[in-house]
Amino acid sequence: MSAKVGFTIDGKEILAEQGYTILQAAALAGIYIPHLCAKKGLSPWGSCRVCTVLVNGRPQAACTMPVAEGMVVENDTPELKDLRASLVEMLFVEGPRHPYMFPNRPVDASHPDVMLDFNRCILCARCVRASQEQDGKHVFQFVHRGGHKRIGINAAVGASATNLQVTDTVEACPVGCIIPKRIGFAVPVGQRVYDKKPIGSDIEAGNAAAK
Amino acid sequence: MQFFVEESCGYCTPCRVGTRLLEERLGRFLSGKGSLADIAYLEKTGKTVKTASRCGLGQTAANPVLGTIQSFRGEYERRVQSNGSAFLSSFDPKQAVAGAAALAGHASMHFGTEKGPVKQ
Repeated sequence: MSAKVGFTIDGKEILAEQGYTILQAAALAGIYIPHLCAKKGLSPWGSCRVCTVLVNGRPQAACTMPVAEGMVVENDTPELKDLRASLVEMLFVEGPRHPYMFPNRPVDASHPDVMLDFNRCILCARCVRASQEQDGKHVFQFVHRGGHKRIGINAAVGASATNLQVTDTVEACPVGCIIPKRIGFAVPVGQRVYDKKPIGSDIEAGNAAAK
Repeated sequence: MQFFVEESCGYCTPCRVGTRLLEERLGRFLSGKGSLADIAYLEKTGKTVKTASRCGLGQTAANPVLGTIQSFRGEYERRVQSNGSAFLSSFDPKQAVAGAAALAGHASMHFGTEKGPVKQ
């Protein structure tokens, strides 16, 4: 049985099991920390930095930082909200789309079951991790680096693996970069999950399992 | 800044995108097309990159920008457009319509060609 660790988020005292990240512990306690690259069931990654919180006054990514005894975490402050808005803005103007113009990156339709629209990709690596950790395959991987970094898809593996869990990787993508072929708008716009309620409301309502 | 743009691995957002944004805005000052708003933008973006980056490269990448603004703000302001116009000098309307003019197959009625405005 692992020991419990006590710490505070915005002054609220929280008990969490040792080894949990701040993001997981906060979700269990009903506190929503905005995040893009973290996903339940996948290993922590920490690339989008949207979940940045102040831990004892120092900026840290909540999705990769394990909880520790006596930690003082600040989450809901105007400065951090500004920072997060600024980061999301950066994702919008990134790469060849800067200065923002009509989407002009190529798409990759080499895979038989899915298509990649790089204009939407935020390089969160959710698909890379979902493919490796959940499916045990290596269908997605990063290619190039720096500003030229993008997602690559192994079309040959996909073609031979008939049980590629397309829905899983499509589910994993937070931005709709991975588009299943031959299926369009299975759930109509206006009836999607977060058309009806704000993101994070399920966590704040206390329904969230550990991420 | 070109160094940091080149060296960024692209893992985290602030360093991958922020360094490019900083390079682009800094270029405006170097070509004499900066504005006062650009100084504020550089400071804000620089702070984001410094605070949110994952490793030391990104955390220090904004230092040259933030440091020079802090110590040599006058140099930045000297390169700000001096004509007092409210228009952004970084925006070149001639260049902006060049693509459309090429598609339309004739020069812009307003700006004309290199030789001068098109006579109507």
